[in-house]
Amino acid sequence: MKLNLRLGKNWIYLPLVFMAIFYLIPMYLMVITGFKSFAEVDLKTMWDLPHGIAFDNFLEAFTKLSPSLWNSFMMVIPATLISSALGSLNGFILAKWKFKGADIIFPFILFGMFIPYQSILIPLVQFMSAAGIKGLAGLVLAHVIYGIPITTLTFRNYYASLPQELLEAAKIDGADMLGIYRYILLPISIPSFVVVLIWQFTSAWNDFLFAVILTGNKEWPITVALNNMAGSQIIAWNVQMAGSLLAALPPLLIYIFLGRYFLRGLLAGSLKG
Amino acid sequence: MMKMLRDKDRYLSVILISPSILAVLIFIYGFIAWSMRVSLSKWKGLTADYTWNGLNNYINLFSDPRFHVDIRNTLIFTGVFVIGSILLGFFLAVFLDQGLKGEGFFRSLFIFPMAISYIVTGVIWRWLMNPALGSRTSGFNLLFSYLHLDFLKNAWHTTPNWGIAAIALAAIWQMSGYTMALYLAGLRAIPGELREAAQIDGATELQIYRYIMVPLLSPVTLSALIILGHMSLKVFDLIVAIAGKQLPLDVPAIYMWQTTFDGLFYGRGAAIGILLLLSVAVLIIPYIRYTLKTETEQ
Amino acid sequence: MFKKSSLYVLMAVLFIAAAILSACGGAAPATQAPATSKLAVGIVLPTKDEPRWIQDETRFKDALTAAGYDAEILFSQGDSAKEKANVEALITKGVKVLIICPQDGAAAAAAADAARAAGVKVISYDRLIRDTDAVDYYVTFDSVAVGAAQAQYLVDKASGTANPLYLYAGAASDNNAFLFFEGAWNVLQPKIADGTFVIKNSSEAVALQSKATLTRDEMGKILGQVTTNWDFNTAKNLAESNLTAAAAADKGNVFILAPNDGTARAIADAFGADKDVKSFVVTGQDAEKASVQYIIDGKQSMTVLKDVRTLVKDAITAAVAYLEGKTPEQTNTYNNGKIDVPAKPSEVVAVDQANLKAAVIDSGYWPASDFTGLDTMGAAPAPAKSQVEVFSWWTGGGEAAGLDAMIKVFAAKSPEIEFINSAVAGGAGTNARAVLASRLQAGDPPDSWQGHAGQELIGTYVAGKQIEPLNDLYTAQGWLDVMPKTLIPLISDGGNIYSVPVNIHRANVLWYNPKVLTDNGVAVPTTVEEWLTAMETLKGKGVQPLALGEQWTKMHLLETVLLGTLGAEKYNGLWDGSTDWAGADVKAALDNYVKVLSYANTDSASLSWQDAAQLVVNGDAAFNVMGDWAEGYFRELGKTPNTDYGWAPVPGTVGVFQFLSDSFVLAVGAPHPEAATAWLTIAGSKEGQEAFNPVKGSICARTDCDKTLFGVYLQSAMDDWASNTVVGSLTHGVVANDSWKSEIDTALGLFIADSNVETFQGALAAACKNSGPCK
Repeated sequence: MKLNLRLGKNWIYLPLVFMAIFYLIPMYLMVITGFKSFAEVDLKTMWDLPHGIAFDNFLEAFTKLSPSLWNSFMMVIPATLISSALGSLNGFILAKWKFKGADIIFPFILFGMFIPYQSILIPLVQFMSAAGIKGLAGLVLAHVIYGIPITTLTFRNYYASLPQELLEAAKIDGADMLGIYRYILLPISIPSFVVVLIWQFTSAWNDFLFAVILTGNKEWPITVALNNMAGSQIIAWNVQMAGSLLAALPPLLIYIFLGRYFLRGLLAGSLKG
Repeated sequence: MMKMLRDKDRYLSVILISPSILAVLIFIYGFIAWSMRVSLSKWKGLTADYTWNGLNNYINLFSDPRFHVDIRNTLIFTGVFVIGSILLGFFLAVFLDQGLKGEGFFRSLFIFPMAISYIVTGVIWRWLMNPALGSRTSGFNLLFSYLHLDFLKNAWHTTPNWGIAAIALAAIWQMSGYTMALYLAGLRAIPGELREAAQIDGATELQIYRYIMVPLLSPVTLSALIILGHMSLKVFDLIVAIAGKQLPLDVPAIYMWQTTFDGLFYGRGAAIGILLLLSVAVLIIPYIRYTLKTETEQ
Repeated sequence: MFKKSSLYVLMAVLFIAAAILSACGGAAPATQAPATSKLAVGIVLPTKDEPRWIQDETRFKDALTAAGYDAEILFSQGDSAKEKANVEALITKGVKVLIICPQDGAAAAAAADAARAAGVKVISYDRLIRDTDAVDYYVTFDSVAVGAAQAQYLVDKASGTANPLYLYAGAASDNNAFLFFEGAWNVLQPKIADGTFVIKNSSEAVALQSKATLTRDEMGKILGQVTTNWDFNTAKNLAESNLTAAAAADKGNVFILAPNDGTARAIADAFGADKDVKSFVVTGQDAEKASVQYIIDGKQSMTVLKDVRTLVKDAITAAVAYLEGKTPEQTNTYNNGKIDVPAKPSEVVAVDQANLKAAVIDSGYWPASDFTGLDTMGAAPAPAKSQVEVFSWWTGGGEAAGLDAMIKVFAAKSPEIEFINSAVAGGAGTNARAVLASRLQAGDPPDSWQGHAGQELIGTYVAGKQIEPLNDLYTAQGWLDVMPKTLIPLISDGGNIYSVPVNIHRANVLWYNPKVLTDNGVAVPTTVEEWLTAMETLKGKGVQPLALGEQWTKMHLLETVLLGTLGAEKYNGLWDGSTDWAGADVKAALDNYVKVLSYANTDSASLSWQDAAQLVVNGDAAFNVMGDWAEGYFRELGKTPNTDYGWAPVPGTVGVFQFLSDSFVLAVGAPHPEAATAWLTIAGSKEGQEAFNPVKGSICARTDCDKTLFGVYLQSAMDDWASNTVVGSLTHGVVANDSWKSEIDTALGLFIADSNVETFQGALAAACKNSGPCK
C-alpha cells in the first residue's frame, strides 16, 4: 500500500515541499501585499515584507464585502447540494442502470458544456425574465443546470470504475434500483461527493458572469462586490488582496473540512461484506 | 417478479434522469440553437437582426488573421495546461496517497489556489511574470537574480508566439490541485485487495501503478481531461486579468467576447462560439465513444 | 347664498316663480309654492332615471326655496315628444323664461321655436338646443375646458416617451361628447406629435394625430371607434376588446382618456384586471359618488367636478336678467348649427386625491359620511416609494466617490426615490459590458446608464433604439444655455438630444517627470519632431523615454499621434470620411507612431495604464501619454503637481483639446421613467456636477461650474476647454462607433505583433469602409 523503498517514504517530502513552494509563492505575495499600505504597493518592492502588520486593509475589505457574504451563502449552498445530488443520481443511472440510449445521453449531456457561456447570455436573460424567475433563485437554477454536465460526468466515471459484481450481488438479494443506490453506492461515493462538492462550491462561489447578470445589486454575491472593489481606474491592490483572501476563506474551510473525507478503504469493506 | 421489478426500475431510471435532460435540452441546446441561428445572420449592432448571411461569418473567420492567432494560442494553451495539470495532479495524488503526515495540509494547500478570485490571481501572476529588465526587474526574474539563477530569466507572457504558455503556467497553478483531488478520490476508491494481490505476485510498486492503477483510473482521467479541456477552451478571465486584452495572447473566447460586446458583431461572435463547440465535437466525441466502448467490453 | 347686491333681483325671481306655480294646472308641481306667486320660469329636465337630474331637481328646488321663488319642473322621460308637450304646457301657463335641458339637442328645436313664438326667453341648460335661432342663452359648463382638464391631467402625469394612450369618448349623438373630445385633443395632440403618447386603440386617431385641430367630421370618425355611448357596459366591452387586441408591449403604464365617471369606472375595472397593465391613469367627469370612492381607493385617478349648484345658480341668474329686461353676462358663444348662442361657461374643477377633501367634501358637494377610507387616503394610496436603477462602471477610487457625492445631492432633492446603484467595475477582465448589452437585448434595461458622449452613444444606443430623446428636459432645465455648444451635436441625432453629459476629460495629455527632463537638459516638446529628438536624447543618456502600457493605451497613444501629425481638421476628417485613411497623411502619421513606439518600454504588454503612469512619477521614465484621469491617480499616490509630474498637450496638439465625456441616458422602456428623469435632472445640474467632478478629477460638462472648487491641473484644463479647438477621442467612444473601434483595435493588435505599417494602414482603411463612413 505504500511505496516500499529502503529510504522509507520520507524522500517523498522532497518533491512535495518543492511543489508546496511553487503553490505558496503567489500566496505569499497576496498575504504580504494585503498588509501593505497603498503607497507601498510597487512592483520593485513586491517581494519585500510590509513595514508593519496592520489589519486596516482586511477591515476595510470586510466592511465592503460583508453585505454580500450572506447572499453568497444563500446561493452557493442550495446550488451545490442540488446539483451534486442530481449529478450523483444521473451518474448512477448512466453508469450502472443503463437504459436504451444511455450511452448517447451521456455524451449529449457532456458536450453542451463546451459552449462559452458568454454567447448564450441573451437567451438566458430572456428565458429567466419570461419565466418570471428572479434574483437568487434564478442564479441557483443556473448553477444547478450548468453544473449538471460536470457533476454527472464525475459521478458517472466514478461509478463506472466500480466492479459490476457489487450490484449483481445486491440484485440477487432482491434490492431494487433505489435500494442499491441508497445502501450500496451512496456510502462508497463519499470521495466522489467530495470532489464534486469542491467543484460546485468553488465555481458557484467564484462565479461572476451569471451572478452579475441574473441578480440585482441587493442580491449580488461576494464576487461582484470583490470585482467592484477593483475600481475601474485606481485599484487599491492591497485592499483587493486582503479582500480576495477573505473571500477565499469559506471555500478553504470547505476544502479542509471535506478533505477529511478522502477516506480509504470504503470499497474494501463492501466487497468483503 | 424479478422481471417486473427490473422493468419498474428501468422506467424509474428514465423518470429520474429526465428533469436533467430537459434542463440541458432547454438551457444548453435550446440556447445553442439560438446561437447557431445568430451565427448565420448579419446581426451587427444592438438591434437583433436575423437577416440570413449563410456561412459567411464562418468563412470570414477562416481568413481572419486574428482568428489564426487564436487557434494557435488555444492549441498551445490547451496542450500545456491540460497535460501539465494532469501530470502534476496525478503525481501529487500518488505522493499524497502514501499516508504521509501532513497530508491534510498539503492537500488543502494544493487546492487552495482554485478558491482565489481570478482578478487577484491575474494581478499576482502579472507581477510575478513581469518581463522588465534592468533596475525595474521584478517578479520571478528578480527572484531568480536573488538566487543567482539568472539563466532562468525570461520574458514570460510577452515572449513572442509562446507567451500564452506562460499564462498556462498560472492556470496550472490554479487547477492542478483540483486534478489532484480527482485522482486522489479515484485512488482511494481502488480496493486495497487489488494491490495486495499484485504485490504477492511480485509486482514492483512502479508496475502496480503502471499496469493496475493507471488503467483503473482511466475514467478519472477522462473526467479530468474533459473538465480541464472545457476550461482551456473557454479561458478568458485569467488571460484578461493577467495581460489585458491584447492580440498576442488572444484566444477564441476573448475574440468572441470582444467582437460581440465591444464591437457588436453578434453574428461573428456566435460563429466563434459554435466553432469552439464543433472543435470539441471533433476531439472529444470519438474519445468518449472509445471509452464507453472499452467499458462495455470490460 | 346670494350676494346682497343682487337681493332685489332675487326678490323678483321669487315673485316670478310664485307666478309660475300659481298658474300651474294639471301638471304635477315639483314645488309647493305660495298660491300667490305667479309662475314666470318653467324648467324642463330630461329624465328622472338618471341620478344627475334628480340631483338637479333637488338643487333647483333648494336654490329657489332658499330664495323664496317658485318654478315648475317637468321631466321629459327621454321622450322628445313629451318634452315638446311639457314646453307647450309651460308656455300656456304663461312662463316668461324657459330653462330647458333638451333630451335631444336637435329634436328640441321645435319646442324652442314654439317658445320663441310665444315670446318666451329660452335658456338652454347644460345641453345645447341645435339648429334653431330660437335659443337666447346657454348655461353650461365649458365642455371644451372639461376635456382640456382631463387631458392636462394625463399630460402632467406622463413622463418619458411612448406612453400608451387609450382614448374613449361619449355618445356620437351628443354635442358635448364632441366638445369634451375637442378640448382633450387640443391638449393631447402636441404630446402625441412629440412622442410622449402613442395612441393604441384608434386607427382613425392615429391617422389624424398630426392635425392640431380636427373638424367635426374628423372627430366623428374617431368617435365612431371609441364611443362608449355614455354607457357602462358599452365602455367595459370596448375597453376589454381593446385590451385583447393590444400586445403586452402596448400596455405597461397606460394613460386613459375616459369621458365621464360612469365610463371611467367601467374602463378602470377592465384595465385593472389585465395582467400586463402595470399602472393606469384614468380621467373622469361629474364627481359621482361612486367615482369619488374610486378615487379615494386609488382605482380612478381624477374626475372633473362640475358643481351643479354653480350651474343652477348661473341659470337662475340668467333667467332673472331676462325678466328684468337685461341681457345676461356673456363671455363666450357656442354655435348650435344655426347661430352663435351667447353664454358664460361655469367653472370646472379637476379633482384627484390631492384636493378631493377640499373640493368635494369641505365644499359640501358630498358629505364625508358617504365615503370610506377618506382619513387614510393621504397615507395609503401614496404611491410606493419609487426607485431608480443607474448602471455605471464607477465602483472605486475618485469615480465612485464622485458618483456617491452626486447621489447625495440627488437624495436630498428627491428623498422619495431610492437610488439603486448598479455599478459594475468595467476594469480589466470583467464582463460588465456584456451585462448591459445582454440586459438591453433581453428587454430588461436599467433606468439609466453611463455612456460616452459621441458615437458610442449615437452609433450604438441610439442606433439600437435603446435610449429616449431628452429635448424636453433640456428645454425645461435651460441646459442648452449652459452646456458647451461643441458638445450638443455629439449627443444629438436627427434633432434629438440623447444624453446628459456630466464631465469632460482630456485625452491628449503628455505627462512628464520635470526632474528627469531638467537633469537631461530636455525641454517640454511641442511638436512631434521635438518630441522624437527629445526621446532620442533621453535614450542616449540611458533614460527610458516613454512609458506605455497594455494594448488599449497603445490605441490611446495612436489617436494622439494621429491628431498631432494630421492636425485637428484632418483628424476630424478621418471620422467623417473626408480624410483618406489610405492616403499619404495617414501614412506619415503612422510612421511617426512607429517612431514613437520605438522609444517605449519593452514590457509594455505586461503593464496596466497605472503601472505605466507610475513609471513617470517614480522617475523611471520621462514621458507618458494618458488621459487626465492619470492626474487623479498621481494625487492618490500622494504626488505633487509641477514637482513630481508636469503636463502639456501631446506634441503637435497644442491648442487642441481632445476630449471624452461621460453621460447618462434614459432607457427606452425604463421601469421608472419619472425617477430616472429626476436623476438626470441632478446629473445635469450645477449642484450635481460641482459635487461630482472635483472628486472624480474631471471638469464639469456645464460651463458655469465654480472654478475655485478644482485643483491646479483641472483649472488649466477648464481654461483650455474654453479656448481650444475641441476634437473627440477614438479610444473613449467619441468619434467612432463601437464596431469601428473594435476593428481598429484588432488591426492595431495585429500591427503590434507584426510591425507591418502597410498592412496596418490597409486594415484601418478597410475598417472605415466596413463600419465607418468611408465608401
